[in-house]
Amino acid sequence: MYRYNTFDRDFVRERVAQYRDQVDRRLEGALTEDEFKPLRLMNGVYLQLHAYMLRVAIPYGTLSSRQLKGLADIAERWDHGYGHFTTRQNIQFNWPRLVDTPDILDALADIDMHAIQTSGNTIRNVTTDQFAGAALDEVTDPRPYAEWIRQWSTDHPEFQFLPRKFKIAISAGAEDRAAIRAHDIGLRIVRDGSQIAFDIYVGGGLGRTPVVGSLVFERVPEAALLPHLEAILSVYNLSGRRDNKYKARIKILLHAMGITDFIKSVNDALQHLSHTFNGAELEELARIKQAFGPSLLPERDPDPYHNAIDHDPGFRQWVERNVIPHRQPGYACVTVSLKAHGQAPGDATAAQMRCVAHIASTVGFDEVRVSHQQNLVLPHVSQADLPAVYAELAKAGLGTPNIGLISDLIACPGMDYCALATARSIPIGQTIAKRYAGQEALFGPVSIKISGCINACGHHHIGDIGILGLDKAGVENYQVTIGGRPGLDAALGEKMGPGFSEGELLPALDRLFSAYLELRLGPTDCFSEVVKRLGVAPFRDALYEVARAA
Amino acid sequence: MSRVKAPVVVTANCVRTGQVVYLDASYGWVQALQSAVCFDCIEAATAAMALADDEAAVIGAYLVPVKRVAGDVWPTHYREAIRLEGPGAYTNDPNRSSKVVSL
Repeated sequence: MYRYNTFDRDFVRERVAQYRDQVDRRLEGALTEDEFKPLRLMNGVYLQLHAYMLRVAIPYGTLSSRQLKGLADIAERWDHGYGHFTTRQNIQFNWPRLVDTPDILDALADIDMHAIQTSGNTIRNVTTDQFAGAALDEVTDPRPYAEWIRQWSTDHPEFQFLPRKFKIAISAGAEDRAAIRAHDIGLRIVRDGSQIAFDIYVGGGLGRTPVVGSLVFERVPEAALLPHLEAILSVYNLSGRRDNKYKARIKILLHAMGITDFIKSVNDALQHLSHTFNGAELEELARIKQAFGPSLLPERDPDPYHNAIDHDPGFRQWVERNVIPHRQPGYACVTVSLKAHGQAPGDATAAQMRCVAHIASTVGFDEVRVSHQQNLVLPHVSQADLPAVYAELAKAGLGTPNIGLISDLIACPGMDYCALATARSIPIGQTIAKRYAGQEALFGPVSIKISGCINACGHHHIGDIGILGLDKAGVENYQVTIGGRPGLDAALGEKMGPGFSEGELLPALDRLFSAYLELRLGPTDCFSEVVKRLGVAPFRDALYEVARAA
Repeated sequence: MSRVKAPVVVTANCVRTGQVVYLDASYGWVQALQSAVCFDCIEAATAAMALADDEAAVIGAYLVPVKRVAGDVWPTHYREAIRLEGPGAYTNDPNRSSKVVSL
C-alpha cells in the first residue's frame, strides 16, 4: 500500500500545527464560532447532538495494521472506546472534546493519517472496491488511481470552495462494488485493447434529489484521466449553483445543461489544461503504482482449511457467507462483520480493532479494508489460516456469518448522534437484525439500508429495502422504498406509500417478507430478483395489507 | 422561534467539550436538565438566552419546549430527549420511557 513520503508528512504536520493555533484562539475567545466553524470543518471536526465528532479519512478504505491499532488507541484515549465506520469508508469518533482534537490529529499524523477534506465543499475521500487488488474479476487494482486522485485533489487550490461537497468512487471489477453511479463522479476502469481506460459517470448522488449517474465519457485513456477530472470540476466550479445548497450538486448542473452541452463545456475546459498536465503527473502515477505492485503470495498447505470445513459447521457457515475467492488460488478475502445481531452497524470497539489489526499483521499481509457496507475486510488470507482467523474473530464478537443477509444492514448514525437527522436509524437497524436473526438464512440475500434523514448517508435509495426516518409532527416516521440497487445497473427504490411509526414498521416488514416467501420460485430466487420480475406492487400490497383491511 | 411554546428551557453545547448544557437560574450553564431554569414566558427566555449566550463558552443556544411532570421538566420532542439521554438510551415505548411527554 502507499506509504507517506517526507512531503506528505510535513504537509500533515503543518496542518495540525495550524489547526492547534486555531483551536487555541477559539478557546481564548479570539475567534467567534462563525469564524472558527469553517476552520474546524476543514479538519473534519463537526458538532453533533451530544459532542463534537471527528471524521477521519481512510483513503480508499485501506489501512495498515499499525494504522488500525492507532485508531484503537485514539478511541480508547480520547473517545468512548469505539469508532464508527461509515458508508464512505471513513471512521468517525463521536465523543472527542474540542480541546483534545489537536492532540488527536497529531496522533493521526503519527500513523500517516489525517482528517483533511472529510468535510466542507471539497473533493472528499475517494472510495473504491473493498476487494481491490485481491478480487478475481478486476481489470487492474484501482487503488493506485484512487491514490493518484487523492494526491491531485488534496489541497487543490481551485477546488477548496466548490458549490457543494464532491464525491468520487472508482471500481475496476466486472461487478461494481463501489456504488460508482451513486457518486458525483464514478470511474469504471476498463480495458481498451491492451490499455487501461476509464468510463466516467457524472451526476450520481443520493440525498434529497437522488439521481443515478450518467455515462458521460467513455474509454478515456489513463493519461487523460486527471485532465478530464480537472475539466469536469472546473465546469462545475464555475457553473454550479451557489444560491441554493439544495440545488448545488453537479447532478443538478448536469440536468440543467444537458449532457451534450456539459460535454462541450468540459472539452472547452480541456483545451486550457495542456500546461497543467505536462507529464509529471504520469511520473507520479508510475511511482504510486510501485507501492501497489502485484505480489505473489506464498503457497501454503490447505489441509487445515479442508479439515475445518469437514468438521466444523460454524466455520463452514462463516466461510460460505463471509469469505470469497482471491485472485490467487489458495487465498481468500475475508469480510469481518461489524453487524453482530443487535450491534450498532459499523461500530467497532478498540479491542475489536486491535483484534483485526493483529490478524492483519500476523496472517493478513498487513492490510485491512473498510467497506462502504460498514464492515472490515482482510483482503489476503491464506486458506490455511482461515480456521485460526475465524476462531480469533469469533472470540472478539466479529465472527457473525451474515454478509449479504438481512442483518448486514447499513444504517447512518441517525438521530442518536447526528445533528441533521430527523429520526433514529441505528435502533431500527438493531431491532430488525434481532427480529430476523433466526430466519435470515431462509430469506437469503437482502440489502436493507436505513437513513435518518433525506441526506441519505445510509444509502436507502439503493437498498432492496430502503428505510427513511422522518419527523412527522413530532413523531418518528419511517418511509419504505423497494427495488433500489447499486452497481452498473443501479436503480433507485420506489417509495411505497405513507410512512410507518416505529411500532408499525416491524409488522409491516413481517408482511413484506411473508409475501416474498410466497412469491419466490425457490430458495435461490432472491428478493431483488423477485422484485425485478414482479415489480413492487405485490410488496406494496403486503406492506399496507392491514391498513387497507381496516 | 415564534413557533416555540412555553414552558421552555435554554440549551446549547459547551465549546470546550461539545456537551449538552442548559441555562440555570444564575445564568450559568449546567449539564443537568433538572437544574435548568424553566421559563413560562418566551420573551423572558429569549432575553435570558441573549444575556447568557457567551460565545466563548457555548455554541448555538436555543429554546427547548418542555413539560412539567411531578415537579420535573422533560422535553416534549424526541430530539431533545435523545440529546438529554444519549445515544441508544431513548425509547418511545410508553412502558419504558417516562422522559418524553406527549403534547
